[in-house]
Amino acid sequence: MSGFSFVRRLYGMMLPGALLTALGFGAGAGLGAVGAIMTSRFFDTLPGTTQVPVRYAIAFLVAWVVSMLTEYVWLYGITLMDRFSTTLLRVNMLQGIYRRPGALPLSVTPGEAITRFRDDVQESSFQSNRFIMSLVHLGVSLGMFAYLFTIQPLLAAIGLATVGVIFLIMRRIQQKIVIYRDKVMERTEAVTGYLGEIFGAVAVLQVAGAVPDALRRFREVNQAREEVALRERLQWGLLHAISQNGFYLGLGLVILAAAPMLARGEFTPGKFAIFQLLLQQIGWRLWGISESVAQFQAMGVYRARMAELAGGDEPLVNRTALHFTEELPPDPAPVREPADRLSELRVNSLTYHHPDSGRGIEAISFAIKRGSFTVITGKIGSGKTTLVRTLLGLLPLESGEVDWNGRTVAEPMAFFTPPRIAYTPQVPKIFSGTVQGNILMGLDSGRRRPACSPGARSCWCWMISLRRSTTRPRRSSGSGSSPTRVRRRCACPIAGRRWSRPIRFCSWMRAGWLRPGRWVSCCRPRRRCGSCGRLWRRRRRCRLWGDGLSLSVRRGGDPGLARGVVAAGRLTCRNDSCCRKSLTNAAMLLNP
Amino acid sequence: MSIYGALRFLWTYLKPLSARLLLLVTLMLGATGLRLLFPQLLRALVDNALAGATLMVLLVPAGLFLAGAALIQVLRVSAIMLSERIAWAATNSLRFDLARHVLHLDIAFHKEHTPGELIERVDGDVTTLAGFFSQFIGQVGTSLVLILGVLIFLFAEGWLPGLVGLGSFLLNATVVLSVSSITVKAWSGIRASSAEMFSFVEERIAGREEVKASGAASYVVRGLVGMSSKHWRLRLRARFLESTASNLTVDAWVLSQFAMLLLSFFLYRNGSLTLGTAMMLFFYADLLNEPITTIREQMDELQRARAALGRLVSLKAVSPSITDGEGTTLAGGPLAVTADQVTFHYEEGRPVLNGLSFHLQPGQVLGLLGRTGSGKSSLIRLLCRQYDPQAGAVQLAGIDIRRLRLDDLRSRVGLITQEVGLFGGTLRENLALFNQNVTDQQIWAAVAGLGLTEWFGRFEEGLDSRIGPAGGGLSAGEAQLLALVRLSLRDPGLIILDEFTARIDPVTEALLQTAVDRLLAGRTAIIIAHRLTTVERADQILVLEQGEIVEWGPRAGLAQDPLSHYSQLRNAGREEVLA
Repeated sequence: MSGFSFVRRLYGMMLPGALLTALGFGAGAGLGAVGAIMTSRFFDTLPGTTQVPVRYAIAFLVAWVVSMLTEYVWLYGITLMDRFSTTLLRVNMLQGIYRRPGALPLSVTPGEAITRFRDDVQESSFQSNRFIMSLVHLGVSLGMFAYLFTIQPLLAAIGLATVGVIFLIMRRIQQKIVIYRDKVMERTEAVTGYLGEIFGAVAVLQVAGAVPDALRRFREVNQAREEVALRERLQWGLLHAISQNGFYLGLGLVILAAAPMLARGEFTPGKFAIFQLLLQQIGWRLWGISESVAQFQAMGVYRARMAELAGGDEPLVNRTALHFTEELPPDPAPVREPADRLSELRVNSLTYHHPDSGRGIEAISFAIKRGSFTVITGKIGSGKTTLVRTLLGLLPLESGEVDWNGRTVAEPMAFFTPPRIAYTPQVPKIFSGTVQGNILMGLDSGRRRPACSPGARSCWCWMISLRRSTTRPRRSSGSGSSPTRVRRRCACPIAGRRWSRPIRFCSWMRAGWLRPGRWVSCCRPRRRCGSCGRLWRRRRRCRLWGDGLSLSVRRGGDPGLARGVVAAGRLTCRNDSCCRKSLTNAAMLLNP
Repeated sequence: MSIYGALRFLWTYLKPLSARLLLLVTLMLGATGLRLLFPQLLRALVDNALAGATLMVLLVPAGLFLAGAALIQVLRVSAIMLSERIAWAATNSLRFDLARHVLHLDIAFHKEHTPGELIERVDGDVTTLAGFFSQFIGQVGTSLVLILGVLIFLFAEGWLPGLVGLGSFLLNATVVLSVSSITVKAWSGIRASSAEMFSFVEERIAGREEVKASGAASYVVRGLVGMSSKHWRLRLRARFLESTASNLTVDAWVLSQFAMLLLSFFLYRNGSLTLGTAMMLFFYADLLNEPITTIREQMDELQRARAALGRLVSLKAVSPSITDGEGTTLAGGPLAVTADQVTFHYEEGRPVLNGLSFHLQPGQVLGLLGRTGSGKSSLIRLLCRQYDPQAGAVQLAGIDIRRLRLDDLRSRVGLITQEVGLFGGTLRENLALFNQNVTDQQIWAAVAGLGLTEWFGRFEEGLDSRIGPAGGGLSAGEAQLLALVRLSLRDPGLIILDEFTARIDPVTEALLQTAVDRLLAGRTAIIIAHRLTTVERADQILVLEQGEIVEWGPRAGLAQDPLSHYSQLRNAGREEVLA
């Protein structure tokens, strides 16, 4: 998709805003020119004896004041456009990310993804939306030249030629700026990336006594950025100088050419004033046009970067219904269809390999009956988590199929959602906000008080008796730039250890209780935190989980109910003696 | 912080550049002076033309005008370049200062502040200041000069034009000062709403596995639209407020031009003005707008910079609680480790270590066992002096580590945790940790010493091989191998391995065990293990529970005693007790 059709598609979806902008901005620019013309008329009529000059002065004042008022019109229009285009692009990018298998790494780091969400979207949509203003700039400038031609064709031609040359120079500079800007962005990413690394590994550096060496390196990457940035700034300096003062050069030439006419009395001082004032206005309109052209060329880069996340050019500009409301109504609870009721889950020669390491699972087949509890176990790297993720469509399967009640699941990713499954990933994720919000994840809180069993109720009570109330904002465990309203970090084994329980518990509640699944998958419930074990048992007592089968991924050696063992990507053991022993243990746990 | 405080802070970084600053101001004054002359040239041209002067006489002001316009370009470009150089020099030295300061702060500080937040301070906030560094003094200075020049020229034409000029200036200045608070107010809340939106997106991208599995994708999308609505509601308000502020200043300027037109009309009709002078007065009034707008913009910039500056000053005010000791030196070779009645807590009333005492002979290996929360890692942090105990003392070779210089201590104690800390760069930089004094021979000797030469063959470009950011392309186990080489280059007398095998795949594990055996030879070591096989090499075992020692003795002896905690752990094989 070319930059032009990208802009055209966007404009097609926000015509009212665009019209409002064009109208308001055009009126303002026109009135500005009228003000200049009134000034020249003032000087032309000054030598006479009438009071006409005063009228021209008043007209000058009125033209300007009204032109100020038109600003509100186009500001409103352009804000409508900005709101629509930035939101549309972001929503389409987010949906593109969600269309990918959830456990497949993104092609970019989360930091880069955020840069695209924030800067690329803002730059591209601002530039595309201001394109209409550039058209107005162009139209008004041409109109002014036409007017100047009617006054004095030769001088107007000189002015036009100078302005044209200045425009070409500006274009050239702006092309260079685009090149340098990419370099500056690259070096800036190097600086912030390096800072992130050393701040993230500050303990390593301190303990290794490597702080001075790390700082020396910081100075180097900083200087590397400075060199490119200065080159970029030189171009900007040239651009600013030529755009702000370039018209003086044009005016100088006009004056030089006008001198003989003035001497012959063919040219009046008032006409002279109009040349000065209009050339000045054209000068800064030129700036807008030239910048717009440059940004238009750069838009291809932004568009490609955004389309990568959205999953293509077409999905990026796909028309999506956007309801701009700050209210956020809850989702309806997932409906349990009788057809979803699981009797058997069958997996046939499931295969997936991680692209970078080549490790993964190879032709895994098994069947799981309703009401059973299966533990997948094996050594580190044997493929336990990969198996569950592939099964759920969180990784794209290379071959094989998954059958739900005897029917093949065409799109596991879309199919394995609540209420068919409840899943808590290996590293549970807590989002900034309240505990309640984290558990509900968009569900209606109305009738969500625990009613299922006394055990569940006690769990709920235990949870709300945690040190802070459930509605108190909670900070996420991972992200770097989340709001700093909560003081503690949640990473389990360090200072914020106390929060590991709520994290794990939120994840369970989110998956198992409020979205009761037919089939529960829980990755490494006890990982990272010893105290989670207690909760694990508590959870089991509560029977929070749904009516289907349960599947748990554990590290080898754990007691548990095991029907299958995955080792080195192959199903190697089923119902052997160790599994039988685990079976007995688990049965005792389940029926205390 | 006060404006005065802000300026003083900035001046510490600008002072070394004062010669360049002076040159900058000179260049800008030159350009300003030329602009003041343009209306004079125009008057000469118009009046001479009306008086019927010859072409040659008219060409002089016209030629001067053109030459002046060209010279202005040169002056301005030079000034901009100079100001950028000043800004980059000042901000880069500020960045360096801040990074150095932050890297020397305690681990406790870094636990409270994420890398993202610190990057925002050290790079984001400083970049906000850059415009201020380069522009403020020059721009405000020359703008004041331009205003002063215009007023002088106007008064030179008579007290009436002078008074109108002065009145316009005062009107403009009043408007500018009174609207500057509007623009600041306009932007409050927008940064917060945008930060909220992007941290929302960032978290929902990072947690997409959970979002999708919860079927909450559409809810998240609606959440994003909702946040966007709020953001743009605030943006529209800010744009209107800002536009009102700038319109008011433009109105004041238009009003002063209008006044000048009326004045010209009356004076011209009185016969006390020529047409050229009338035009000159108008163009001088025209010139007044730009410097006032510039000053207004710079004041806004100052407001923004003040917020950033406040954050930077308070960051610089944080001082590390762990500081150098008086400088006793440690002997070479393996170090004895002693804990003497060590009591430690992170928070008042929640003791983590409770009167802990033990002594480890030089050259011995200690296996440290205990449940999560028993205080193992806290003990390690005390040994590395990431924290100081509230009571008691940690000693190395009989010396209280608080009496050592931090560099000395850290050069003698080596720590490996699950977090290896790999940097985007070459293998050499990662192994030597950017120390340029470490030679390739030393690195290869260390690699050979750990028996990893063959494994290193996988790096096709040798030590020049690039490792991606955050260690991309290496498994957790492989990263640990690099950490071992890194440690062996420093030849520490005490090595601490903190759950470093937790995430290792079986293939790398065998390689790692050999390397660890070689590294530990002839050194004191403390091992916190995730798996019991890892502590099999220990001479002594220490079992912690709730910050107290429940068992301490030679491993061989404990292994034979079936009632010991260690034996029970071994028999149960329940690793979660350790993890």
